[in-house]
Amino acid sequence: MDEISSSPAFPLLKLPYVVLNNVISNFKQREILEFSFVSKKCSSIIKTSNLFRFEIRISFKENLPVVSFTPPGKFTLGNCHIGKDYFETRENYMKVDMNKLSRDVDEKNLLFSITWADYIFDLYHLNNIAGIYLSSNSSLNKTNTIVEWLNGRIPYPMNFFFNGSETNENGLKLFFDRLNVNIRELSLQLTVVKDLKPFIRRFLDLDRFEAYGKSFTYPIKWITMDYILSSTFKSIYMRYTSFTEMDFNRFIKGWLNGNHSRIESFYADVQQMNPDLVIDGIEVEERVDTVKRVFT
Amino acid sequence: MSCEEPTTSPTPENNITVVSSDGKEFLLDLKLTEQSETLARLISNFEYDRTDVKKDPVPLGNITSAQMQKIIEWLQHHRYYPKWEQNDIHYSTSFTFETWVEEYLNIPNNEMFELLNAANYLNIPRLFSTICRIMASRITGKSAEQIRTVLNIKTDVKNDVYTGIPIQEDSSSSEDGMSEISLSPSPPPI
Repeated sequence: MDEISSSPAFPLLKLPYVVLNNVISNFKQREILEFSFVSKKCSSIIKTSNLFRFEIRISFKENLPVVSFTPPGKFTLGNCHIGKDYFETRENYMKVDMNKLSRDVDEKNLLFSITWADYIFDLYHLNNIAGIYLSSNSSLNKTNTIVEWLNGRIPYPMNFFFNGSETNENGLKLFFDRLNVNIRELSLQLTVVKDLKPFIRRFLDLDRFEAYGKSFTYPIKWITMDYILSSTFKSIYMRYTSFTEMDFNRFIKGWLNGNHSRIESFYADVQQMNPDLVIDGIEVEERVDTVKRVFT
Repeated sequence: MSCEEPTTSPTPENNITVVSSDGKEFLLDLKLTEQSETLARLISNFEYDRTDVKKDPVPLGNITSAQMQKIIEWLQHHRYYPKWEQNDIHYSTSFTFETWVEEYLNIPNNEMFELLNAANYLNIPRLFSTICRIMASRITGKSAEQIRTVLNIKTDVKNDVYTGIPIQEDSSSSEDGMSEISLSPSPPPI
């Protein structure tokens, strides 16, 4: 487009509001952020545009945040992540007094992470996000800072995802002790933790509960079938469990007797299982695949 | 997609006259006006689609003859295209345009600006949306500094609430930061 390159710049900001809003609504996630850095006016324009069309997830697992913008309900499709390398090169756009920063690199990164998260919340007028991703091995200081930030920012129940190569039990305990935000969905991918008894009882009424073991060699040990039986989860998803046939047998019998009225799905994988033991003492009818049943 | 077919000459029964802001008259086939929601509504309201109704020229005070000429070119090219339906543009991942469209919109920015406003005034959604997407595509992958240059926006963020220090030139590459970092664990497929 030769003519374009030699012509005066496009006077975007002189467009009528509705037209300008339409142009901006075509910006992709990264361009929205960049445009907000261009000028104060541009930042205001972004804030007044209706751009709350992405599900936003923020990960604090790394030194700087990773922000994921995805179409609602399409987390696994067309993901757009803005990573720490992006934020690193744009630190100068953040209102952070470099002189007051701690020499501690972790503290500095934590401050930048929170500042970035605040900026994104302000830009998109967010009061809710689709998920917060945290390391299960965060320091107590980082955990405390993040939980205080969440308490001040999030008024609605939300989803939390913990994972990491190691698990800091004290950090987890601190997080859940201080968290005032209601949890809708909790995913815990924890390395060997013997028991989370002190705080696991608080999560037994979540909508969705996920737990991940490391492998069948290091399966989930920190939640037992007793906890599951006393829960009111709607959906349970567990990878690498050490449940036995008897555990599943107890769950099914409890369910048949009217427990777990909210349960909609229960997935748990085990290394091996004898189906006969699972249904021991339970009246079963073999499913005929050719029969189609309509449930209303 | 190309749906070009031989155009028919407008006859008094199937056309209206529009008058641009500089007084030039254009004879427009009613079929073409269907692409403009403003004109289509006007024609419907005044029943200009009836042969027994006298059709007064329609003044378009916001559109110059040059813009009208350009718009008619667009309308004629898309004469046989299916009715425009807004796609889920918010989630599209790339900006792709027909060769014809790229050539059609290879115009100076001031003309593009006027054409966008004209498309908005006449409510021609396909043209309007296309120009909006073209404009958005021009800043794709650009840093804030580059966007300032492309759009000739003077920065006023030096003392902005978000900055405490002077802004430095950002020369990072366009793809910096767009990583496929996984926010694992992904939701399980159930």
